[in-house]
Amino acid sequence: MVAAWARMAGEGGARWRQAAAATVLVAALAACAPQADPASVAGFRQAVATGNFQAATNIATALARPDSSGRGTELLWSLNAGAAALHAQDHPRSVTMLDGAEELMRGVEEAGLNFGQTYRFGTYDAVMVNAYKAMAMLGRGDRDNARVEMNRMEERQARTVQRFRDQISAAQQAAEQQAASDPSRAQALQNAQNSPEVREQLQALDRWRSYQPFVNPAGTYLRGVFLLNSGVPGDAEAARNAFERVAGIAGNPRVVAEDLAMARRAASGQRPGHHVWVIFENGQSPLFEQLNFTVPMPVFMHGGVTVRPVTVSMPRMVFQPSAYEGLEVQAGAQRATTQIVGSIEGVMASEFRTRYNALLAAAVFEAIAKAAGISIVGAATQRAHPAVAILADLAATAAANVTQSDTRSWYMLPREFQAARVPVPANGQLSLRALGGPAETISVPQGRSSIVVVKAQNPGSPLTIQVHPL
Amino acid sequence: MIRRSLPLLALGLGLAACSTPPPPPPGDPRLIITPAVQSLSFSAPVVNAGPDGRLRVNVNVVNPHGGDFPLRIQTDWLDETGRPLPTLQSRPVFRSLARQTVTTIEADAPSPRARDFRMTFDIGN
Amino acid sequence: MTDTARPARRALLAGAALLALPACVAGEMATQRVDPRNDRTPIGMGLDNRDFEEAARALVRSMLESGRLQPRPDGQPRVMAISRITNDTTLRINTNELTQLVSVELNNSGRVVTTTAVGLDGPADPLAMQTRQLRQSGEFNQRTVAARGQMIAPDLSLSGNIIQRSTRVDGGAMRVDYVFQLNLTNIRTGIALWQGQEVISRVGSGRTVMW
Repeated sequence: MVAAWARMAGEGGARWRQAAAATVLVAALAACAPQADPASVAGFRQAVATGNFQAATNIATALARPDSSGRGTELLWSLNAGAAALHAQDHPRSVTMLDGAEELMRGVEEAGLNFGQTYRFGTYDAVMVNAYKAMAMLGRGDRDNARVEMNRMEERQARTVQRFRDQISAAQQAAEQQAASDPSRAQALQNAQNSPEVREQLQALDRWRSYQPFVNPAGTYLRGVFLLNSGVPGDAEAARNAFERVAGIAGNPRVVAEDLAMARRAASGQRPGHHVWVIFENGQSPLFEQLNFTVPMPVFMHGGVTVRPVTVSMPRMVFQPSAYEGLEVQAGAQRATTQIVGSIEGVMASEFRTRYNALLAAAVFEAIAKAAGISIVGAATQRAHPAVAILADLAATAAANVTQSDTRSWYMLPREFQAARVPVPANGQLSLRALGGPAETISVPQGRSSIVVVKAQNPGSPLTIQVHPL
Repeated sequence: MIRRSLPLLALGLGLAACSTPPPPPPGDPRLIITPAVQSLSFSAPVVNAGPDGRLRVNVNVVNPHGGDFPLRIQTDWLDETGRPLPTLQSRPVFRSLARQTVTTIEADAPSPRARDFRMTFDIGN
Repeated sequence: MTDTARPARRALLAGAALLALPACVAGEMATQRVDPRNDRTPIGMGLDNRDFEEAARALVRSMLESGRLQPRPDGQPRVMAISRITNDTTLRINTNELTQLVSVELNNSGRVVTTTAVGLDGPADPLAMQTRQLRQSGEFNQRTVAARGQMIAPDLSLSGNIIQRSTRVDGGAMRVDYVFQLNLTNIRTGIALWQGQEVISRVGSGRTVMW
């Protein structure tokens, strides 16, 4: 075998090189996202499901490949580690990991959104980095920097709306140009758009039409609660604005309507009484899987044109269940049930829908480029040694069909944020009961307001609770 | 001819001296003008003492150019022994001189202890 | 293969190799010393020390210029306490940086002194109060221990905000205004003796966030 390779190299060195060059090109096109070790990932998910966030933090931190400063060098696992550390109440680590994640995101943004191998984060990811950091800062008792993180969250949303719209319209324009320049491409794109797989996905995403893309009511709600209780002049007015926005997106749930009324009173000089806000991170945010479908297209091969089915690969959003329907909160004689104030599922679905057409066009044209890769190799290997030709052809066909889209996502994000508010109980005892699930009793500080953050990732998960005085 | 014009010339010179102040001495030692900004013209500094005894300085700068000019001004305040006082007022100030205009540059002493100053003009960037 | 085709193929190979390389090979910059009096190093969209100095310089100048900082009736300078300065920006700022610059400059002016024995979240220097406990100690010469009624209460309070406003400008650039607001309140009357605002603005790339 070795001898055969050597002979091939000796006989037709130039041809061999040209075939190799084409193969390298195809391989580069097919470069796929790096995968974390499956056993660690399974261990992480298991730890999160069972509420063992310390273990989850450790696994995720290792996968984030921290540098000497403790910050991760891998974005997705930095995000997971930061969020897991928040619920493990390891707040300094949470801030470190999320700071690192923010830095990695910044690097991508500075490079003109050139993601390379980096996780293709969504706007909702970036906003939630700051929301979680704000919580971790509250956990550290650092209200000044919690405010900074909440301001960052707002800033991100404000600038994202415009910038990503520009970016998406630019991508769409490019796609239209490509389609216009080559009728076969337009046809391929239309074939893809009409495929049942794509239609089914669009239908599922349309359920979240009420959610504007790039606006995350969960973070805004948290900011409203913080500002309502800060006691800083002017904050009550900002809290009122925040609650108004949340009410507009989340369909005006009662808890937000009451918060809004309280913020209005506070803005007119009436200081709010002390309350406990229960924020419930419920369930699992949508995951993505790879959706493959084939589009027939003309391919130039071995000196002739043949129609070949080429696999187009798209991420498909797969919705996940809530852990529980809600939480029943009891403080003395007062009762309240948590209501949805921000659906991460909705935020993700609306953003994904906004990007969908551009993504689909890119996926179709990428598949065409790979088919062209087949064509290049086909042309290059025509006069090559037969063995080389077969090898290169095999490699190219494999590459064209192993298209991989980025199906990663920030696992730790919940399906939704729910909230309830009760007056601070006289005995400081707060009972939380998941509807159809476990119950817990906790102590909350008296004489001041506080936020109780509850996390349950999956049906059957325990309630992981932390209390932050405001 | 020459004899008749000499008194006229003297009169003219005398009138000129009355109507306008003498031109600033080339290079007031308190103004340090770097070569980069020598195309601007600088008036002599006007120094007053404010009601609280602090010195205040004004310098008029003419930008004769057709474009705006970025100016960097740094004022050191000196005590009676000639030592600079540590103060934020000595940090550089950046002004953009609009084209073909006169801009008044002001500086206030940080305390009544300041007796003298040194103002350095340089290009802004 | 023709001779003309060869360079093209070589370029293709090089291109492929480039694609495969991570795009993060950045040159390391050598560390340099910065002279604070002649600091012409580049600026970013965030705030650095120069901006705090500039804001403090302008605000103190305005304060002194206002002519409202008259000495106490006994001829002694006014006593100022530092109240809350809210950082309402997206930058992690230690607001002490601003208040320290302001109070040092005011102290140097001879008009105002700052008390470190009274503060919003407790005194800046708790030792002044703690040393009073030495009054019970036989180990200390009591004539060297501060007597009762020696501390001077503040008659001025310094509070303020640092606010950030971001706007998109034409061409996709970003403008950020950082607004430094300070109030000097007469504690006795509750009336603001002086109020000042200094804006530091930047225009730069809107590609990424400013922090």
